[in-house]
Amino acid sequence: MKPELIKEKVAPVLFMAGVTFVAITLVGLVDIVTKPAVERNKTLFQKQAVCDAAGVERPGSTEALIAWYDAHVTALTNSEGTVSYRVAEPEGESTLVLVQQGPGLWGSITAYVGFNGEAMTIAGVTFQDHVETPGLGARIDESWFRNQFVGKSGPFARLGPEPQDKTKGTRDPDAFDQITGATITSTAVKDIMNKSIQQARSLTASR
Amino acid sequence: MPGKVKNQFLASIGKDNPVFAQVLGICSTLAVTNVLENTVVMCLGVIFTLACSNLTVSLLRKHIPGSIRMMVETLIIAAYVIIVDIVIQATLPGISRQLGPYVGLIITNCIIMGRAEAYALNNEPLPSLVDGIAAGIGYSYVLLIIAFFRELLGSATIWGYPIPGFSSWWVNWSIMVMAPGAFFALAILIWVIKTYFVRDEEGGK
Repeated sequence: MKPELIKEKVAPVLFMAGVTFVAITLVGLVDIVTKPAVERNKTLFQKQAVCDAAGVERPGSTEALIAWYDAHVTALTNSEGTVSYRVAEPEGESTLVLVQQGPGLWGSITAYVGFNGEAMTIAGVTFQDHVETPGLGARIDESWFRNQFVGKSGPFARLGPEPQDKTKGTRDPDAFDQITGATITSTAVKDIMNKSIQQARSLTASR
Repeated sequence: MPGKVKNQFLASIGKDNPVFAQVLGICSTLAVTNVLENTVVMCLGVIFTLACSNLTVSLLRKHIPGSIRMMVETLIIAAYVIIVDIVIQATLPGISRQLGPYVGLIITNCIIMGRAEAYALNNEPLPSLVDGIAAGIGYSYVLLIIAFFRELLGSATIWGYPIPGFSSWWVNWSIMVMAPGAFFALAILIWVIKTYFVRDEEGGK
């Protein structure tokens, strides 16, 4: 093989392969080292979501949260593989937490919606996974937005305007206040909530 | 040499600033500056990537074949960005969820490629490292100024906290949290800086 050919064709390929190998090894090592922490964060988020959706005050420390979860929560899987959670309350009542997905503006939104025992009123809502616009659609994470569902039983037909004073939102049982500038996200939340309500009702009816 | 490095450092922060003078890296300027907290994490990620990629490219500069130099640079940048992404996922999970795909998009930030091409390929490792950090700081403070005003006017908060005596009566400007608000904020900032702080060296105007 001619020396120029080696210099022009073979050397660049070998160099690229070498750099790729080093880069992949480095990324792989960091991934292996941080994997336990990433996994732990994922399960912690899921436990927090169940806790928030059940309307239970979140325990202060991570250990307390895990202890509360282990003592009160049972994960249920139905024949279609959908996971839901039953959270036992001290008074003997239990809260059903459903995991529901729906399309948002940029990607899917995963919501955890809790329903109180027999009355089937909403105990809490939390949005576990979404990629909505920060400052707009992502404001579905704000407590005033999530808390306005508590005590209502839906289904929701109307969206009210975002209140200036967050304590004075709509009290109508079939409405909730949306986020200004995030109509698509707010409508997506309405659909997700209605789907969860329907699912919860059919689950209790079949029991 | 230290004098040259110092000048390079000051130039990146001042008259050659990557954002307001060279108008590079604008996509992330638009995307992540509506909330201050996200912006800080993004800036740290960019500074780290710029510093490391400049240093690595400079160390390899005598060995990188000219025909594939951009591929090699992109690969080096991508490796560092993925490391940043994984580390944020492990240590700051809440912010990682908010930033979503934007951290990965640091790979396409033109400032990083620009500094590797324009500086690191032709200079010693230490000045290249300093240049990377300087360009990162230059990028960061512009973003932080924009984020401060966008969060203040768009959400009436700073770092997620309401401001006493302001948040209660302020009507949020929704446009400030959307992409057009970033364009307005950036344009006004460039205007102010070019008028009052950076003397126009092109002359004649």
